Amino acid sequence: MKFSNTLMKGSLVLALLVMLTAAVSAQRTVKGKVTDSETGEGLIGATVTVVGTTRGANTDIDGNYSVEVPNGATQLRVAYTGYAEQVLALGTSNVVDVALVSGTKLDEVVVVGYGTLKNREITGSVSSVKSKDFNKGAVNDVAGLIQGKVPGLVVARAGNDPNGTFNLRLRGLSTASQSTSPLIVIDGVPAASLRQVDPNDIESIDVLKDGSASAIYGTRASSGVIIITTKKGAAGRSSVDYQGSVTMEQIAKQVPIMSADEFVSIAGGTNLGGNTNWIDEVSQTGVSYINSLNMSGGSNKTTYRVSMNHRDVTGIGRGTGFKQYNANVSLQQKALGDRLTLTANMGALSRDADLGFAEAFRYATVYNPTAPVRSDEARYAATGGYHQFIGSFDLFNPVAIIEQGTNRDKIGNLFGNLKADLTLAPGLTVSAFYNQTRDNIRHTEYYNKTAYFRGRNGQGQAFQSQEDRLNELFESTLNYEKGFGKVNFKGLLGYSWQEFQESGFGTSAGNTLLDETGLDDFSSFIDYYNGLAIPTSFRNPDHRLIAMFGRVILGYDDTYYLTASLRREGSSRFGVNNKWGLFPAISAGVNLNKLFLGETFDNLKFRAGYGVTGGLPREGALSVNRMGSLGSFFYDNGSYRLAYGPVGPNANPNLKWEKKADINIGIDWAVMNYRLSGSIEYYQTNTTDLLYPFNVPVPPNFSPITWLNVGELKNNGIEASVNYNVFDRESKSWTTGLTFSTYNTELVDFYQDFTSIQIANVGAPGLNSEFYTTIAKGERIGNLVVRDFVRVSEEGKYVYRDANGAETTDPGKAANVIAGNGLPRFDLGWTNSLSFGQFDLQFFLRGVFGHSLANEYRVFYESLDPGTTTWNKVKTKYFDEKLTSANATSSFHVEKADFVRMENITLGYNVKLQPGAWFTKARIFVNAQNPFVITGYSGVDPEVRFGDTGSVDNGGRPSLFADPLAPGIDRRSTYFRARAFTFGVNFGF
Amino acid sequence: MKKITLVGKIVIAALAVSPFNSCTNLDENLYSQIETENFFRNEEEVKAAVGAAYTRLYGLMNHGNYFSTQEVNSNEILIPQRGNDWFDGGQWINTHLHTQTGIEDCYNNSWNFLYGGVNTCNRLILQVGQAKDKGTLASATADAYVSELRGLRALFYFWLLDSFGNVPLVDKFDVPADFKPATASRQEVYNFVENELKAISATLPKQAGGAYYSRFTYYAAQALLAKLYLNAEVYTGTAKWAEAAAAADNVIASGRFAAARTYKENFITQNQGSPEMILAIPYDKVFAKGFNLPQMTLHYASQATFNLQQQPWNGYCTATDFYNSYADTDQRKKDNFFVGAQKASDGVTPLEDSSSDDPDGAPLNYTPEINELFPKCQRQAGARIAKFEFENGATPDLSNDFPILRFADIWLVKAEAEARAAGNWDLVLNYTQPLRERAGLPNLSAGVTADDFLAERSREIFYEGWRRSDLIRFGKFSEPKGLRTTASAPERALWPIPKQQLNSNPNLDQNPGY
Repeated sequence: MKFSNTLMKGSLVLALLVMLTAAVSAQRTVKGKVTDSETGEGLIGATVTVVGTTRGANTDIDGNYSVEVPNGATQLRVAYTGYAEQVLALGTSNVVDVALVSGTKLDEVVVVGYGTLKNREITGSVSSVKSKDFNKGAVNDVAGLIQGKVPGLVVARAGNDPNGTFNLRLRGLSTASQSTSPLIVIDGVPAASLRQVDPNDIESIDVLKDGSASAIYGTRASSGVIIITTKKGAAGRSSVDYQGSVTMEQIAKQVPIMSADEFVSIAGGTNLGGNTNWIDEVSQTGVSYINSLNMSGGSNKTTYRVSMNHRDVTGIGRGTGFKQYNANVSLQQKALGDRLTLTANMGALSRDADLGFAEAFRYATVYNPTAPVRSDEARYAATGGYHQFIGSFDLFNPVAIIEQGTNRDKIGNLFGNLKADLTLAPGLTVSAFYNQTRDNIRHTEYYNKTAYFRGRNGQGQAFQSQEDRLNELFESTLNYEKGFGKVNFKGLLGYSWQEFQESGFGTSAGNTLLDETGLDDFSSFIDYYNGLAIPTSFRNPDHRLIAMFGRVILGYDDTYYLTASLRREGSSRFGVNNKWGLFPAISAGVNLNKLFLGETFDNLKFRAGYGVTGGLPREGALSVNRMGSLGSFFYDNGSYRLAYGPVGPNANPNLKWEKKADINIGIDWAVMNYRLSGSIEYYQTNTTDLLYPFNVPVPPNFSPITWLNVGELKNNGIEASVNYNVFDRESKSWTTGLTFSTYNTELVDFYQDFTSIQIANVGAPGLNSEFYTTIAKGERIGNLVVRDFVRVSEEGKYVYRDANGAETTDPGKAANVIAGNGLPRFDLGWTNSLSFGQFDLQFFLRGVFGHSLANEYRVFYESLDPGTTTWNKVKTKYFDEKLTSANATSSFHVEKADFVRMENITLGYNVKLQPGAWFTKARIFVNAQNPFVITGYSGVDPEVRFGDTGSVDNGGRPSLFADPLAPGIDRRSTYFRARAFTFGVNFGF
Repeated sequence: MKKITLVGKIVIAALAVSPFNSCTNLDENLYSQIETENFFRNEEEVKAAVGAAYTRLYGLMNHGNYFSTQEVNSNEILIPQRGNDWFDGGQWINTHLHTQTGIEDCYNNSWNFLYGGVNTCNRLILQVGQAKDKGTLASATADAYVSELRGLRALFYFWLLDSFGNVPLVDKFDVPADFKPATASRQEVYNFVENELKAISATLPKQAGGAYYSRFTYYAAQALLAKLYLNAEVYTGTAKWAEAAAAADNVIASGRFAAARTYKENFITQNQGSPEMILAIPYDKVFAKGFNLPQMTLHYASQATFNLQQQPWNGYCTATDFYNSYADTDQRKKDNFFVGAQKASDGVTPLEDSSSDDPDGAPLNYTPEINELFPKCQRQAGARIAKFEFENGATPDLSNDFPILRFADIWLVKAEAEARAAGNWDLVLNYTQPLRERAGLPNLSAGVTADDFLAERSREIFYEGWRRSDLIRFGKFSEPKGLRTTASAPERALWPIPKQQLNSNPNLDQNPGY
């Protein structure tokens, strides 16, 4: 390639010339420090260039720079990602310090699919949260970092199970199929697991909210996209950073129950003579430690970052917690005269989790408070000395549950990425990207031989399963960027290939001699030799996704912007004729300020977009009829043979993409020199060809379930955010921000002839075949439809309204009523960040409004029916001593669950360091999570429940799939809510 | 070297990122299953598939299914609301009081169970036929399978005929995907069952036991035909007493079946040797799961009596009047019921209802008396079902085989048909004699009435799923009985078509009276 060789040689000569020229010219050295105007912290990696020359330097870890300035030069340009560029006049001083203002959001870099854009170029709905704005404290889950920060994104977790995960829901419910939460993209890898990256390693989280922004991810993007970018090394002095913290967690709220005295005197419970606080017995102060160490640095050619994180977390429930080690290495190397950039990224995670038993909270709530924990009575020898109500249904000594069982996960995760970017010509870059991620989950449970809970009556019971997941990704892209006069063009072409493999093996068995070997010597279980052990084994059809995509971004004179993208994507999960889908998007923005408003606003941008995104079914092989083992045997001449038959739902060879089309309009504005800024958006989405496992008649079908594309969902909402820099002086500053979002999800249509269906069985005891939720055509999703409660009668009966509006005490005659809706109407987030001298303070309040919860503890344990004093009673503000009616679900049990929560408060102190100190940075902080919540809800946690995992009793297990069509049910399996206090330090070396 | 233009570079790069052919492959591979069209490759595979028609029956004895609904609706069994337990949407109260509306889960479960069976048979008849056409299966073998499958399908339709009455008749699998079959009249369903049973009787093996145990044989077809004819008057308005007696006699006269020496032998854990099994479900705790009786009927504390591996649910018990219809000297009373103080497996340690508000106190004591059906039936109330032996250390899945068609039943069918044909109930005495003698009782005496016979028949075939149709045939179904103190409308002799089914198929008609 002669052309490029010539060019290369030419540029070398030129560079040499410039250097020589510089060497012989008179010059001086200008030094200084580049800081963040808000925090005063040095900015690492800022670019300082001498205007009109090729001279320049990057700042080091402390923000210091040193640059040779030739005579005659008059200006310095200082630029840093996310900050307003500044051009400063050079005086006679050889020290020039610069405080960069981050207010000019227009220049902030926002990560969008397959590239980055400056904020000013954004035409879709994208929210970007940088690490400095993340929620502070002991955040063990990435999603917790941005809770309440992104308008339209609800990040919810009911209870503080240390192994629980957050539920993410963006802009209401727009699919009932594979994923109701946004697609997670970590460093370019779609559908990555949030677990594989430590919260401390994240640089920024960008949320693509509307179809016009997310359609570049086409498939799987109908619930939005969350793009996570990890921290990378920067050229400059190498640095070492350590962060450590210790957190103490305590129960913030438990289900209000009767004391031992009340249980006996009011509920008429049997007095067994003791006085046990069961909640205390199953809970503890959870003490957790987090240590993070990272090293980064590099030269102009090579940069690196290595980080190691250790989390040792103990929950408020005894026997719950996890230990996690995670290491990440990222390396970037330039070659071929800086035209080739190679980026490698590797990570490993090892996690040992004690899942423990959320059931312990449930039974601690309802166990007789006059019963002892342990008893020497002979009859309890069979239950290991633990008190148990042998003749009762669904009641277990919660301390015994914790102490006689183990429930663990061992998780390993490994991933590696390699990316090569080659600049072929100015503005033209071709890239190739490969990723492999492997996940291993080994789950074990053991219930010892005297365990009453799941212990199989003296035999002991063990479970073990192993699941392997492999995710491979290959992508290549071509980027072209060029300015033509006032027109700025950016083009992207790409190809993507991704495959997911999933397989697993498991077994459960019991009846052994030694509890000590129960978990590790499965060969000792007699069940195997009696045929009573149960094996499971599967390998799902590999899921492959292949896409071709392209995008064009045009800008004109910094005033008009246009983005158009198209993705053609295919999935192996669809029928032969419908594997491919087309996902177009277009959006435009206009800078009104520039157009006619002059200087009234610092920024006033109007933007509008339209985009189509897709949804997948959550399982494969739906387009073919399958035969498999039925796990059941038929009798054939004296012996049993395995029967084979149709497995899975009926085949639907016409199964195709679910499609969501949405429109989004928004205005971004800023005034007062960017001190006051905000945006407001309106969106409307329409999901068609809704994928759902529908009930179909048998016959003609062999299975009562078929996955069909036949529903329609509608969503709309308004989102607004305001940021205000109230004051910003030498040593004091205050920035405050408010976000507001509304939600509305309606089921326009479901399958043919459909009017309504009841789901979410209430459960045992006694309330099977009763339901919390009714899905009906034309109604909002999430309606809690139960008996219409009027009052408690003088006789202690529930009084309902019947179909004619008359009162009745017969639960069979009561009419149903929409008693509430499980999904919120709107929410608010209020962030504050203050600094004064060396101190800084952040606090964050979040409010969610308009949702209700069915309080299941009240459904089952509120009535003082004398026949039910097996269980302790819940005693909330709704408690009525008269009530002795048999249980029946009604609007009495559906409560409004609006709440405002102080999510976290952090107070930090930055130690003033003397020159020559060991540290380059020293900071200590204290943090409180969930210090208080204001709510009228009487249960443990008013947080939104986005999905229902079903009813469980007597040691059964909740479903792994949370049904998104049945939100708003506070089941008895909720882990209690905690309050956490953290003390931490951060040192830079 | 030639200079490559920028456009040229873009083209090259675009080619570099463009997918190769193999990179657009979206074929889906199955690993732990196989595509249906790749199955049925040899006789063994076909046989494994045909077995699925039999395993379909295993759901019969689950809680909340067809059998439960039959028993509770007959008022022989009840599932009372025990305070805060067992309300379950009122389905068992309604079913017991004949006030069901069709929205109750148990009717939909029953429908799905029965039509699931019909559909499996239809599918296998098609697939076996295809295997025969392809030569995978010998013609004779294929025909034998099809006869069995038609027999099982006739059994499912017989149950549908008996319970829902007017139901769609679907006899093939290859129908359009949006096929919504219309309701057929009870007469049409009757005709179908009759014709099918008659047709296959010609080809089904006249065998019993051994390789034919639990399979649909000629004798199963004849026994079922006998039951069909016995109830023909109810089903169609036309009595077929002589036909009933003849079909029953085809079973009895074969000499392949006989009354067991004792009543209990028919119901013990290892009851597969009983000579009374005409058609049995070969339940097994390992291989053929689904017979969950200990869970359904025993009080929680009774776990200790049998060292059950899981705690029972304290649900099903026997109607007081039904329990009382047994003489104290009737061996079957001891065999069929648990009453009185309950002991742990050592036979000594008393069991306790640890949170009992029972007037009798905490010691667990099953009383035949039941204070009320709802809402606060006492937790210890009601005689429990002991008919099927509970083995020590039993899992929730019993190994006792369940007799769908039992010799003693068919024996009494013949007795009744002959008596009704002749208009002389004394004719039953020859038949009741051996059964009563086996139970330690003197025979009924001359001048026996229809009611006497019904009571005797019911005592013998308690908890075998026949009480409801017997009551209907004897005109006693709607009469007040036990805790159901008012007469029900005659239309209640048929079940409602479940609401869920009406919703998904507009061509279905609801039964009259609902």
